[in-house]
Amino acid sequence: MEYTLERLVKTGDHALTKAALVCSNFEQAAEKQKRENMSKLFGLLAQSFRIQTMAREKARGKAPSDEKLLSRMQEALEQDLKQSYTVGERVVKEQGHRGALRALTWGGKVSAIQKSVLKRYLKLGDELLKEGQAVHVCQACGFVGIGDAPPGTCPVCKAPSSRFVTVTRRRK
Amino acid sequence: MFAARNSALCTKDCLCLFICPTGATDTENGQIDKDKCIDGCRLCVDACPSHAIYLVHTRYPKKPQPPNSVIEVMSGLLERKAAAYVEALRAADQASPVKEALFSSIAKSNKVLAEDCIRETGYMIPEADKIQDLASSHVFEKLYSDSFEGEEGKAVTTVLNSIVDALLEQRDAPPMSAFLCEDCGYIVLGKKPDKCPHCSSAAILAI
Repeated sequence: MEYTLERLVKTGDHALTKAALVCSNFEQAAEKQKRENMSKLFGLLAQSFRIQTMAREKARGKAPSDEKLLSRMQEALEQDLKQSYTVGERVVKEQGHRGALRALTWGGKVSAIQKSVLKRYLKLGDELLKEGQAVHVCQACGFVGIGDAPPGTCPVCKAPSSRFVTVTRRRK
Repeated sequence: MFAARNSALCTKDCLCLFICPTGATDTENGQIDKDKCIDGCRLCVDACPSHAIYLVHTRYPKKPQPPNSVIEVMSGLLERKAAAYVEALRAADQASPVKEALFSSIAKSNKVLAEDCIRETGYMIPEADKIQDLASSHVFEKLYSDSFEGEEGKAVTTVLNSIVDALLEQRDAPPMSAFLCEDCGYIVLGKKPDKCPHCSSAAILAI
């Protein structure tokens, strides 16, 4: 069977989410190609599929408790680090595919960082974010850092601070 | 090929204005007017003392398909990160302020990781043949009609066709008047509706 976008989206349990992600990836690519209208159209599809995903999730019933969620997230990351990234790296190295190896190298580091942030949250609770602090997410590799300002360059991928988005604590 | 300015680097020395034969670099919005820009001229690119101008290509090479084993690794990981993305989005919804910040950051991080997997599966940029295949598979329409019963997903077809036409001609798509319901994701093309035809929500977003 041939590998196509249809197959990438349809295989597995998260077709709607993957449709959203395929579109948001093309949205960003088209923007860099200065095809603004095309970027908007991909963005429209991405947003629609993301909202549909969330509507379906909510229809499935109440979200699990925080403890359950946090432990599930940590388990998933644990398994990614033990299995998906380690096995994946071996395969792409055998193929000499350096692009995929780069994605796995960054992704493995980011997954380990996500795991440690979740662990810190379990220990500190709301103290995780002190007054004035925010979470900074690198838009190039997904690095997550907590602090007053984003790092000058991303510790994982070396992107400049302008490539970060800042997530602040909502005001009550 | 046309020139574009990275305004984060531009030091406003304006040497691009001196050298540009058509006035394309002198605009009120800080961007270069690509309709006036001469294909491949690059005089401003070389003249800029702060290296803030670069050339944007209109033709792109066909991206090679990675070996099947690499596609399998990356699409397997995509599946896991897509699941983690949704889980974090859901956790952020209606959470306390710190938790909301934490989980929505994790969601943003997972989105980047998942998109990176997609790129390394061989879909770095939108390419005419691949989007054409996607459009003729009607997979997006099927997903859409599953969410909105009785819908064929004509709006999705129109959007995809507009993208495919533009890609085939190596240009941007024409502007389209499009609206999105922020509550259910329903798409309306053309005239702005007062409320969502599907869920009656008034939260209509113009794209």
